[in-house]
Amino acid sequence: MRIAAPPRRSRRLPMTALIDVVFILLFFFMLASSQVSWRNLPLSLGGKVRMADTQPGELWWLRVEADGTLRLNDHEVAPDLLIGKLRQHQGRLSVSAEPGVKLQQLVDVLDQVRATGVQVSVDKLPPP
Amino acid sequence: MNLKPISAIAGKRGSEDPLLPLINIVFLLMIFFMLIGGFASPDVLPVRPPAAIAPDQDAADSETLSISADGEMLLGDRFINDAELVSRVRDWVIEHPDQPLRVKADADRDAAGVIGLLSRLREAGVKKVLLVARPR
Repeated sequence: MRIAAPPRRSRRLPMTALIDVVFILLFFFMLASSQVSWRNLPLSLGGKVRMADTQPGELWWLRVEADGTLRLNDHEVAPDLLIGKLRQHQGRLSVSAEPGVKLQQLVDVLDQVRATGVQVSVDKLPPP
Repeated sequence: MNLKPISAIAGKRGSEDPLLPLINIVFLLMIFFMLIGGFASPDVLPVRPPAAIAPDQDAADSETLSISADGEMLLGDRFINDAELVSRVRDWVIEHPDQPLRVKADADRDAAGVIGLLSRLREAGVKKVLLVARPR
């Protein structure tokens, strides 16, 4: 008996299944990957700074109050005048925040202060 | 000369051929996302850091102390409470004496509380702290 050989068909790679897999991989990498890059801001920790340890005039205090008021060396200062005043200062600046101030408010102030080039440390509120 | 018409050659090619440029592009996109994107670790503790414009400092290998808006703390991948903060951080400092510690605190957290926590970190021996922020 003679069995006829099946007709030869050209074998092609099944593209549809490949595309499905590649699309799934693409979505996986799109969703799983993260393009957010966090910034790391160096913070100088002053700890509890006592007035007695510093030379007069060397250290300035900036206090952020809960309502957003800024006090520079115990005098209220408008936010837009702060940079001008700090540019006259050659020493260090200690920034502290009252309870009730949010971290974002403090970071906003630190951003402003850093622009002046003054040496900043973040401290607890000085003892009254 | 016996040349075949172009239409005859085109007819022999499969109907899937127009998909090839699509596959190429999809492959390129896939490779792009593979190479460009770093894998985001799942957020065990939801923290939304403050936005800042200050310049970045590289700290790829540093440990992160996360503080959520309601005060939960995560050091690396381990939840810690307030009482064990100093001892855990001190252990980390002994193992990594020269590395900065990244502090990823929520933007709505009380700033005075965060400053108090930073001074406790200093007591625990941390020499350098980096505050994690979102680019503004």
